[in-house]
Amino acid sequence: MNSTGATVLVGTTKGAFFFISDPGRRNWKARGPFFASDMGALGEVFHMALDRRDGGRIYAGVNPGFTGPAVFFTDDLGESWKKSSKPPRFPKKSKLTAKNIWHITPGREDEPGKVYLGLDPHALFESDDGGNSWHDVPGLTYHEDRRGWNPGFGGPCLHTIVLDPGSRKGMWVGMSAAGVYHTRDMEKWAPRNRGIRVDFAPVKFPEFGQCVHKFALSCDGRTLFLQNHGGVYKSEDGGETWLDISKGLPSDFGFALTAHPTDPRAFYIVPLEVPARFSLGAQASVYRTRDKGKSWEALTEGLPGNAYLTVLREGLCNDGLDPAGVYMGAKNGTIYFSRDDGEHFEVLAHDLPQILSVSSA
Amino acid sequence: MSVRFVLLGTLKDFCGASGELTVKGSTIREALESLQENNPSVGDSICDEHGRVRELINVFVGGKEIRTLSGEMTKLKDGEELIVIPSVAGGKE
Repeated sequence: MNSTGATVLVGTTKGAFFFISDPGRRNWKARGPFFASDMGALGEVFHMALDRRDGGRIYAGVNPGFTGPAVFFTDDLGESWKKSSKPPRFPKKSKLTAKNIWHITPGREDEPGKVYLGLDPHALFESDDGGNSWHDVPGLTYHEDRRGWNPGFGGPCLHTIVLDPGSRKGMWVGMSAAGVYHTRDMEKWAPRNRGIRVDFAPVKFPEFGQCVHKFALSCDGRTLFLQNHGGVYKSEDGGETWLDISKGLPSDFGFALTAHPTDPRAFYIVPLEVPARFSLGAQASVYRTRDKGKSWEALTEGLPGNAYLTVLREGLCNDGLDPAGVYMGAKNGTIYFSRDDGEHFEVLAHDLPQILSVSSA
Repeated sequence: MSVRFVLLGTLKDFCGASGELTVKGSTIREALESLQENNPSVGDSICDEHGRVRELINVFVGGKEIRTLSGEMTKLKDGEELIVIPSVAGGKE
């Protein structure tokens, strides 16, 4: 993989693209589109993941629409792709049918071959062989709360997977509209939504049913940051309780969120107008906190005014470098990026199909 | 009893240049089960994990879509041709 520059993976409604930079992130090379013609999968790519454990394997969750969702992976930056031989499919007894792959996350450093993905309908799948074959995680598939889980506007999806550094098999997942769930052993799963508000329901603080949009763990592994359907939150006790940190934001609605790769107190979100769900005040912006949400600053330099951008839940990422590269992909087909922690943005690519996801480190 | 699947459109990419696969079966269901067993990748493209023909996949026998016949219980003759066509999406980009 590109060891000194950035590799940015872009999922769109019409296939996928890669953007690969030099060390200074000044010059970029584009690759793709993939999954936009005759690769045995013509489809939307909700998310891709770069797995640095295994020589830089890239996974793509491809949702062709008329056939079932498929996982493809490449070890040579898209020169050749392999399709999983056993795609994510539910056991017959579940009576569930796999519809779309929403998110892919490589496993821990010391569990080679382990990969996770989140699916519509609400489910977690895992692979033990580098993405070639997949099976569901029964503890979630048959969870007693399932009957109370509702779909978000995008469907009943599991869209966020965060590994818990505090336990060997620990993990948080985010589902719309079911909320945050946590496990220590991949068998028993408990809701972790205390303090997260549900504006659209009669009961404002239920045990589960929250429409969480995205969350991430700080780089020191101690704080969870979360963008909810309404409200931005943090948790410093592993999701046991959440504190609303929306004060100071012009809107508490948004989808995307990414944590800073080296500053444990910093993360980024993209607040949007409600109910239109586009740029606030017609000014494209990314908001950053450097003190865990006590204060916020709008980052707008290089981002367009008179703009009505929609940025979806996977539309924001960082590249893990120092200073951090911050990437925002919008439904208008443009990727805006910063190579200096978000201080200045410029256009990385434009006129792509609608962007569903950007991902990097 | 042998029957022949003929795959059209993008489905053809899954099964080689000819786009044809011969399987055993006296009903649609048996033919699909045979297809899933012998060619899982193609079978998975046509059927979901419960063996049901996917919503946007259309299977024609004798010029009629099987949903207008007896569905997956539609009986087949030896040598029958099953034409499989993914829906052509209009109204979406």
